[in-house]
Amino acid sequence: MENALCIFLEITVLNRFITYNRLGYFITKIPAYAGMTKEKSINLYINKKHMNQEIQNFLSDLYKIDGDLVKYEKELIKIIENLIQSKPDVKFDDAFKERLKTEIMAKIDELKKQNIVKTEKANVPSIFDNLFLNRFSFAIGGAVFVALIMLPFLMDKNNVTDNLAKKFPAINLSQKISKLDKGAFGKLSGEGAVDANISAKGNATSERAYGLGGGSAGISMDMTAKSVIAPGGYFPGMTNYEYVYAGEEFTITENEVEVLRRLKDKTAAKSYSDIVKGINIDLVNLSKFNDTELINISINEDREFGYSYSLSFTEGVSIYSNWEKWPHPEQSCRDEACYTSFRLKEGDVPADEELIALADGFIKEYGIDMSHYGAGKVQDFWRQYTGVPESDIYIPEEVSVLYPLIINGKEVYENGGSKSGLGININIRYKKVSAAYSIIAQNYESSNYDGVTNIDDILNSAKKGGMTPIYRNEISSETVKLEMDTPLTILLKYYSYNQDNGKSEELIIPALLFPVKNIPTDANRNIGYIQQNVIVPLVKEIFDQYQKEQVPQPILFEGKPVDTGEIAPADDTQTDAGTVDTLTVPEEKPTTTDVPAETPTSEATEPAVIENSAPVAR
Amino acid sequence: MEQSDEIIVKNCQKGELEQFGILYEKYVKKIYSFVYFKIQHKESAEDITVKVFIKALDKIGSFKHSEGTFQAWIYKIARNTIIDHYRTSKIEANIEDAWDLPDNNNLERDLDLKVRLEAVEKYLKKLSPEQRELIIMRVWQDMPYREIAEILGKSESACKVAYSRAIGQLRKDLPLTLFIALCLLQ
Repeated sequence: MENALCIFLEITVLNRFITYNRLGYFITKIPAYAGMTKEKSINLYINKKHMNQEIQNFLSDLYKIDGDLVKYEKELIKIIENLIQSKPDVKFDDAFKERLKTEIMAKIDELKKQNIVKTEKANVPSIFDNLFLNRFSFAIGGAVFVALIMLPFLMDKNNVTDNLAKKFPAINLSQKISKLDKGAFGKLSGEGAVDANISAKGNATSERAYGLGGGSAGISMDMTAKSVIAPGGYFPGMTNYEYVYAGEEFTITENEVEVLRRLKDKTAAKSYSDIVKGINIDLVNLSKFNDTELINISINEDREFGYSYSLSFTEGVSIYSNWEKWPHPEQSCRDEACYTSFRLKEGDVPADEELIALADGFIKEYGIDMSHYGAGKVQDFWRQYTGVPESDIYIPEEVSVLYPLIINGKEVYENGGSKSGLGININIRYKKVSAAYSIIAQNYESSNYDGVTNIDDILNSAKKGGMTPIYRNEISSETVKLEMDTPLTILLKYYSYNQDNGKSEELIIPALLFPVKNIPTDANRNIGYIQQNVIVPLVKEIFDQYQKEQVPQPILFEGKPVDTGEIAPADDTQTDAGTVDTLTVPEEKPTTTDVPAETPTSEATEPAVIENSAPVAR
Repeated sequence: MEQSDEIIVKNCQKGELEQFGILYEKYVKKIYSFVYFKIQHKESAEDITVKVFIKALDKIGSFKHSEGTFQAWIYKIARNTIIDHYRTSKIEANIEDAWDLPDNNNLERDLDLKVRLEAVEKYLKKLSPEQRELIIMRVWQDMPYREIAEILGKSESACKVAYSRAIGQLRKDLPLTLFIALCLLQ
């Protein structure tokens, strides 16, 4: 009853307060209500005074907006007062506040451990810097690192991706050519620059010795490795090969030629290495390493038939099957019969169209930029294995589809004469793409250099085998003449090693490609023969280097069995039915017999090549 | 005050996440109250408040000062989290706060609050969620129009007009006799 009365009085008094205040009166006395203690009266007064002010404010606002509301003042006061009085007790619990605070601090600690502040602002470095102050496990650091690295390459655009994209430079690998002054790359060969291609021929020698030779580009590792079961056999008596020019006359009018140098932009490598600095390993303080560059990373897909990819920040991307996630039923084999049961048969190999469709599908799915590559072609070297019973032909586990690299409208060749390009491997057993390689960065600089114009010099070089000179064995009992057709102008990958700075550079140089018209088809000779094409560089400096320093490589074999464990398929062999006449001559004085020319079957003479490799000026 | 928030947020974005604790201390009760006024259930309000602050901490890096104050931002998170709460609990479709719950659904409302609000509830129910939000912020949270405008993403004058309309609506709907009765009953 007392409370009811008090409230009634409150309302009355409140209304009077409001009226007085609106009229500018000030209450200086604390009203004492009937039946109340002085303390209670003071509290009530303070509360009412506060409420009064609140209500005044509300009313003032309302009247400013709608002056007509003044006439409803009494109602409005009651409404507002009622609303204020109805204000729910929110029951804010201090224990809850502390509990949540603990949770927040734990979350902060977790975020700092994971080094994640999902920001769209360029604040990543400072956050990474903070990590040096804390010790985190390698596992967490590694996980964060992988997450940060992977995300930019995923489709989803989340905060971290945006963050990295803004902080770190994009890795631009698409084709771009910047023109520089003549001779801008300095020496391409000679002192200070060593032809890495010659050094490579040390390997080429062994390749040749086992019949692999040029044209190996695009051969999957499996194909090569599996060649151990290819039949070996005896190499014949020593045979010399001699190139003769059987093409049309031609001339070269350009005194200068364009040389391209592939750039390895380290901007991204340097920027992304900052991420690694953020990984705090308790074994080594990585932050102590300065001016770092992130060279490459490897990522595995942890799923059935998953892939791994290796991203080089300067080179490009390689994709390959994650070995652990692809089935290998033959692994359980312990005897030959078991292994044999898993051998593929020729009928297992899909038609070329199907293989290309699989490769094209993969390219589309993974968004591989093919704007600078030609149409895919199946690399079916394994089909060209001659002189071997059909039952012994090794059917590779994987077959490659090669998409030739095109620069300035011309296809690019490898040093050995085969096309260079982007390869897609297809696993025959599972009919799935198992690898994609040579998805390379194509940022080039261009500079002009003196060219070779003397046709006689070019032909002399070609007759010696061009960039892969043939070795003439004086004790050989026979010589085979190989006819070279009219040359095509091509672009060639050429590696130049500078001894002064210890760096190797990848150049793209113009060259002449002489298709060999009469590839030996005899099985034994076939193994010993290497090149489908003879390549002669058109950059004078490089051309001269070859003439001066190149040591011919032996391509003959002594008449002894070859270790079958090392035999590789002669991928550049031909199956054409062309015949090769030879003449055996006394050892002391070898003579030769001309070889009838056959229709060229090498890739270089196929229509696609012609399109991109214009014949030289006549 | 807002300058202070801005500096704190920037420090958080630079990696000094411990400073988020300052923002937490400053806003936890306001956010909890706002949530409670709309949810009217203590435990749910606490759960949602936890989510709001965890979300805010998680996304602090994406906060842009150019798009408003931190207070407006965290209120927006709170509002969205409340909507998510009802959507995920599937109590009713398309409701934004407890005021939209049907009268027979008292499971998620504190009983004492229901009693307290009983007299005004049916009138407040007639208001739009935004009008209710205005009243909550203006009357119950004692927020100036400037802050309300920031939170609601409207101009200050637009908020004032909306508020006056809400009160005018209540004046029409709420009979004077009821007010008198209310006053007498309390």
